[in-house]
Amino acid sequence: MANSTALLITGEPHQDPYADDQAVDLESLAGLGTVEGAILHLDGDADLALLKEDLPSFKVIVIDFPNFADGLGFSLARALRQAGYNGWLRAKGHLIPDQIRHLAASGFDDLILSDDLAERMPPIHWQDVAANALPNYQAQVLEA
Amino acid sequence: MYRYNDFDETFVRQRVEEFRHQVKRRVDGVLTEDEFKPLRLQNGLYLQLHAYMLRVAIPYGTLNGLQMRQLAHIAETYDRGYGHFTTRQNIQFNWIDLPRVAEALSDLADVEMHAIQTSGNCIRNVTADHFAGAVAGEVEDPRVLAELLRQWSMGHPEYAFLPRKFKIAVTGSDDDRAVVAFHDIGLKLRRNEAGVIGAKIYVGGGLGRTPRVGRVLRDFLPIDDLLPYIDQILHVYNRYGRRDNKYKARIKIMVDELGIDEVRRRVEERVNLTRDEVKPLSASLMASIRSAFAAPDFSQAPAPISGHDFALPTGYDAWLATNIHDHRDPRHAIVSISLKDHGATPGDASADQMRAMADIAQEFGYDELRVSHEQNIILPHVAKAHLPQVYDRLKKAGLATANIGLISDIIACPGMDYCALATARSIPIAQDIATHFDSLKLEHDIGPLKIKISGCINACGHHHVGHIGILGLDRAGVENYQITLGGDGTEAATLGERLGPGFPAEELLGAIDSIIAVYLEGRRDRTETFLEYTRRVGLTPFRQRLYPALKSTAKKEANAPVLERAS
Repeated sequence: MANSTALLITGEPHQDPYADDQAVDLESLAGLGTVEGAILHLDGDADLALLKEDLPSFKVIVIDFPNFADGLGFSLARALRQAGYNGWLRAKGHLIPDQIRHLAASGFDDLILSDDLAERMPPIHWQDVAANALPNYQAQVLEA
Repeated sequence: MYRYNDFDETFVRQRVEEFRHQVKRRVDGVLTEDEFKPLRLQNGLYLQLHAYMLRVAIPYGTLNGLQMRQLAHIAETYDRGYGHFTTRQNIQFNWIDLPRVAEALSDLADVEMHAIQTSGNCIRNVTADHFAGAVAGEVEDPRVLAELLRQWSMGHPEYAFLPRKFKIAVTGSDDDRAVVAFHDIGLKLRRNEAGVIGAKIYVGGGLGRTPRVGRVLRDFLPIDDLLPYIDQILHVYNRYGRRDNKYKARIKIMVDELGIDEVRRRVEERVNLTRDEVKPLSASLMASIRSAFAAPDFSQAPAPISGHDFALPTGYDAWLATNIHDHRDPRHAIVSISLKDHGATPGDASADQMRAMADIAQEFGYDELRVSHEQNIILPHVAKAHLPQVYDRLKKAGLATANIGLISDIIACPGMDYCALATARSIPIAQDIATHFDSLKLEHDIGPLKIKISGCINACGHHHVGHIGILGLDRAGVENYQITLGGDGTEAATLGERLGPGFPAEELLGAIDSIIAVYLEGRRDRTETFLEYTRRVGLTPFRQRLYPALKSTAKKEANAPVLERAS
């Protein structure tokens, strides 16, 4: 992760505070003594029932987007937030600037770009799109 | 009619700018073609066989004269002078240049229109009964709920990259003209015993290669509770719908695989889990939507007159018999304008015709028009006293074809003439059938009959629910047409049954002709419709006529047209 670019959901680059931390996935959780402060890596189709009371203990949860056209991670993120996860939520994988609004609304805190993605779409593109994001219809159909 | 508030206006304008920016990044090579594709699709831009096609949303099929006139302007300025009205109550322009799309979208925004979410794996344009607000006995105008869903689904951040497209339809009437049982979510308005308005929810209906009648998820849910519930249906679909196979990705397959009870359990578990965070619907927004769809003041309409002091144009009576439907107000009528002139492309209208319809709507129709899923245009409110003038004006515009609901009022997908997915032609098939029965002068005698034609298995022409359904396939490089009988897209929600082996294009007309001959000979009397007859006798008499022996020569003879011109 040391060679990748971390962007906040404003598109602003930031120093990745978790760059050197080791991540675990759902399968290796059982062998772990405590999950306190761990970084958990999830695929979009992860079964949240396996996490249960451990959920609030993770420092960071990383959700993988194998392909930008696969929006499963947006729903998984929302489900994690609704299940009470208040830690750092990170998106990683193939995403495009036009999805920064979707990431923000689903509860993500930042995203990690691979080197080739960051080269083709430098942070300025993400900041541009984020600054001109569409207004939110979903909120305005409800009482304030 | 609903008019944009400041929020709607801002959103649509900003969406145009967003798209302009997306096109620029594509041109600059920042976005790959793969990455650009879903972005352009979510703005209604398809790459077809020969050119880009722009699909413009007409929410729940409702538009006013100004908007119809703007569609004429788009057709002339950016296309070849015509547009194609679709089974999703939208309009498609078939010959659009990519660099000019943003300009066209900007022109649309000038009249409160857009092309947002008319394609792509997102929540599509919400459709509704095309007679909404004009027929008697509705629980409520279904466009109230449809408009709420339009707003809620626009740019929804969680549901913009679903496993597959997602279509919602609403009806407020027991006579289902919105085909709700064949949508991803179908909503049928009803009242509970306490008089509260709500909806029955169907989920997992659809046509395509795996046709399914929607399954009942909830028998009744009050309107106020509907959004959180629909939200969770989408959430469960986005989580558990299949992404490994495009052809198994619609919600109907998820319902097949999980079972409707398990889907309900998962949805309701989520509804309960998120209950505390859900805010109520904005009362002021709901009030403004409801008042936008309040009926016009019908009391000023002139009383119907029994005689006329001018000679009626020929054909008026036949037109009255087929193109007029009862209105909730006794002094008014619902007028259907057929876009199915015999031999024309079903659903096409020229810019001049669009302007003529806009003029007539403004003069005689409370400035309101509808697009029906059967690819016709509706004037929902016309004073009966004005019907002769309306007919006269329509006739001058070449829009007075008297065939609504008859054999030539055919739904046809664009087929191989436009579509990159098509395996066979469908427009020319529709034209041949319409021309054939028109030349025989038989269609009024045959009576109500819905033919629906799809040029591939994806079923955009709704062939599964045609009384006669025609599916065009490719058999080793040769077009071959399968026929189904007895389909019904209304509240009876029935899939057609396959007749037998398909027919090559040159034998198809003869086969349809034979099917009609069997019906005309066998029906009890003129009051027994084709669909009723088919339900009564089943497919056997048709099979005996069309496949008398398995010898190909016998089949050829049997399938030459036999019907003669009516005297």
